[in-house]
Amino acid sequence: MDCRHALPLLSDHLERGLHPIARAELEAHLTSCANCRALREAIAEVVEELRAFPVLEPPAGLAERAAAAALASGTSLPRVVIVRPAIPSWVQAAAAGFALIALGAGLLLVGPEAPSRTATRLVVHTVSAGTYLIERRDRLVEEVRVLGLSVGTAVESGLDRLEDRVQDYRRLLDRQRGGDGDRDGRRGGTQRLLPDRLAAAFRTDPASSS
Amino acid sequence: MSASDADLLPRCRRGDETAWRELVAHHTRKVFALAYRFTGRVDEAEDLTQEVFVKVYQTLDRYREADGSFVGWLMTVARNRAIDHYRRHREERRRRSEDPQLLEAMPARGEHPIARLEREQRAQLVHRGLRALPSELRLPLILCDLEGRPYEEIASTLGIPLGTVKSRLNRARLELAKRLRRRKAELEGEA
Repeated sequence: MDCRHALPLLSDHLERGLHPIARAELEAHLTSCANCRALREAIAEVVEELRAFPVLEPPAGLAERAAAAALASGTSLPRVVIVRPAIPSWVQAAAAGFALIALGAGLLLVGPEAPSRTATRLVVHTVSAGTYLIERRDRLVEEVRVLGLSVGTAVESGLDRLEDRVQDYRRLLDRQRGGDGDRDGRRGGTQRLLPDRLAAAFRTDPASSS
Repeated sequence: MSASDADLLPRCRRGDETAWRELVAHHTRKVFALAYRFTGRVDEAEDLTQEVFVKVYQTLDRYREADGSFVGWLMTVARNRAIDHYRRHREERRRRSEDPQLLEAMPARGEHPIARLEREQRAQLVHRGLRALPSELRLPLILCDLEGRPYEEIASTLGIPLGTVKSRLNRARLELAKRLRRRKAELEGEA
C-alpha cells in the first residue's frame, strides 16, 4: 500500500471500521511511513478535540426570550432577511475599479493646488473605494480556495465510490473463485463467472490465431 | 417522553402560554448546546435557539407521540434548522473571528500551565480550522464528531450517500490534522 491509498483509510482505521485485510495492509504501511503515521496521530487528536467540545450554559433569560419570540411569531413563519449581493462579485469589483478611476480623474481636474470640499470628499471616496477593492479581492481569494476544496471533495467522493465498487467486485470474484476451487478441485472457475462480454475478451479466437 | 412533556404538550396545543414557557425553559439548555456546536459563537447560538423554538411552536401540531419522544423530534427540528442556518450564514461566518468564550469554557484538568496552554492552542487551531472548512466537509464533521450521530442518519439528514459521508468525514479530519501538524512543525522550528 502507498500513501495515496493509505490516506483515505485513516479515518476508518481510527473508528475500527476497516476490513481486517485492509487494516493489516494499512498498519504495515504506517510502520514504514512516518508522514502517514503522524497524520494518523493528528487525526486522533483532532477527533478527541472535537468530541471534547465544551458545553456552555445558555445566557440568562434566553428561555424567556425564545418563548416570547415564538409566541409573538403567531402561526406565520418569520421573515428572514438574507442580504445577498444581486450582482456577481467580479462585476462589483470591476465597478468599484471604474469608480476609483473616475474619482482619480476628478481629483486631477480639481487638483491639489485648490483644495475644496469637493476635493476632500473625492479623496475620502477614493480611499473608501480602494479599501472596498482590497476587501473584495480578499473575499475572492478565499472563495477560490474554498471552491478548490469543494471540487477536490467532489472528485474524491466519486473516486472513492468507484474504488469501492471495484473492490467489491474483486472481493466477489475472489470469493467465487475460492468457492469454485473448493467444489471443483481445480482452477479456472473465475473465468466462467465473468460476464459473457468480459470472458469473450479473454478467449482466444482460433480463426485469428491460425 | 418525560412526564412533564406529556403534561405540557396538550396544554401548549390549546394555547396555554404558561405551559409553552415551561416547555421552552425545560429544553433550552439542550437546544442552545446544539446551536453552539454548529455556530461556535454565543451570539449566533442564541439567535439560532430562538429560531428553533419559533419553528417548533409553529409546527407543534405536526408532532405525534407515536413517532417517538418529543425531545427526539425537537432535536431533529433543531438540527435541521441549524443546518439551514449554517448554509445561510456561511459566508459571513467565515469572516468572523472565533468566540473568545470557547477557551474560557474549556474545563480545567488540574494540569501544568504549559500543558494547558498547549491544549488551548490546539483547541483554537482545530476550531479555527473547523470554521474555515467548506460546508460540505464541515457539516458531516459536526454531525459525527460534535453531535455523535450515526453515519446512516448523517447520510439521510444531508441527503448524500453513506460512502460520501465517510469520505467527506475523512477529508475533513485530514484537513484539520494537516493544519495541526503544520502548526506543530512551526512551533518546533521556533523552539
